[in-house]
Amino acid sequence: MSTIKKVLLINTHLTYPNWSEGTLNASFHQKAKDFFTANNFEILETKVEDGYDANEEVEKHLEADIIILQTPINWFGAPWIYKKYVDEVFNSGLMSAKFLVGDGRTKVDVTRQYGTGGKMQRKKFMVCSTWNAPKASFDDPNQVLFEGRSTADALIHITSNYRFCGVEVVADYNCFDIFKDGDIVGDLENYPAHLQKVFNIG
Amino acid sequence: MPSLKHTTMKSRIFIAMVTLLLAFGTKINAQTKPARDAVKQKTVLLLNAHLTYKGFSEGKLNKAFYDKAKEFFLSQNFKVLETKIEDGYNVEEEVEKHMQADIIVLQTPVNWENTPWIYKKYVDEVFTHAMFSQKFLTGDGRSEIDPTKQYGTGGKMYGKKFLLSTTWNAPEESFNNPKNLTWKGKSADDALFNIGANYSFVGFEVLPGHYCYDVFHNKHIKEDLESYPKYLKKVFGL
Repeated sequence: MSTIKKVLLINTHLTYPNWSEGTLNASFHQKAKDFFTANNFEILETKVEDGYDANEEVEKHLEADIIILQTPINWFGAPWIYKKYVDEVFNSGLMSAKFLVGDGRTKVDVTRQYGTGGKMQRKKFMVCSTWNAPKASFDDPNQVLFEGRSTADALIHITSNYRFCGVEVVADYNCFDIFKDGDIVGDLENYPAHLQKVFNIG
Repeated sequence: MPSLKHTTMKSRIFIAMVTLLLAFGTKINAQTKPARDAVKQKTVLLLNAHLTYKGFSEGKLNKAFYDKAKEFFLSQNFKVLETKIEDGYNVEEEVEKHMQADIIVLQTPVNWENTPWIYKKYVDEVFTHAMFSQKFLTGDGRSEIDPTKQYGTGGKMYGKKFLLSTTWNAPEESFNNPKNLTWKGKSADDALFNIGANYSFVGFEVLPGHYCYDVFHNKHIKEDLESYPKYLKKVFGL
């Protein structure tokens, strides 16, 4: 029995020529790749913008122990190509009953809750995102936009799909304020330590 | 006798003149009233983001809510602008519709815990366009001169309101319930925070959403549809 663990690295950056070329997201993606390679993981990769086959993506999700989404935040979510990917891949995983068997509720056992029909237990999901928003805009009730919300709260629309399918969601990693005062170099340097901690590796 | 006749004549003329003046006045009033209303007439933009999956999700329920809203706003004398995203749109026109609207209502099913992907494509296109043209916002609100100015206050759309109306499979009891594994105590508004966040980022007031839960097992779709106009009336103070 193979003990080699697998990680699926999804990069969903969408190119806007001369405005957002994807260099920063590619750097984080590469950092994660180097980290998992160094820890003897088998690497599966998807660059959403380059195209994919939905059924193949379902298989990659089934094989992976860890799934990482690398994304810029465009208008408070991932670029639209990611939601297209999710709708296609998760619909395929729903129809084939590979990701889940319904929403968890049963007529026989009414105590079974909505969101417990997943088949992806023991897998872990993490988001690594790059933001224009500054760190100070989060976790502070006096901030008008996020009103005290954390990054995890702001990313709930992305992570809840995975939880719905039984995947454990671990702490996200964020690079803030990328156009102004952010510490991009420091954030890149500290990324492997975050991966090590949340996945308890090495 | 002649004097009496004369008086009668005088009073007849007087009555005729008063009547004429009154009629004339009413006519002036009737002419100016619609003109004044036109100045005051409010505009609503109704967006329908349903995406068709043949044989599985045909969009009837979202259309039913959409039509309810349209009927309601027409009855309130609103000018109604409409976009059915699936049928295509022109990005610049959508920016202009947003500029004209006092109220925007997004009708959407919840697919994989959010709107169908065509709505995020719409947002990325429309909001990005309006960011570069500085029509929706002048920036993210922060200022190098005034450090007290917060992130998310650079919008130009103050005074407008945004409402989300969704249909979803999730049951109502899965929200605000710390034991629920998917939402972990979060509300429905929290779950869909990202959608309203764009609007508040550009200055809109985002109202608490209207939600039709548990649509595949639902016993209250009819009631939800019937109570929707009352919700609109209340939430917009109409």
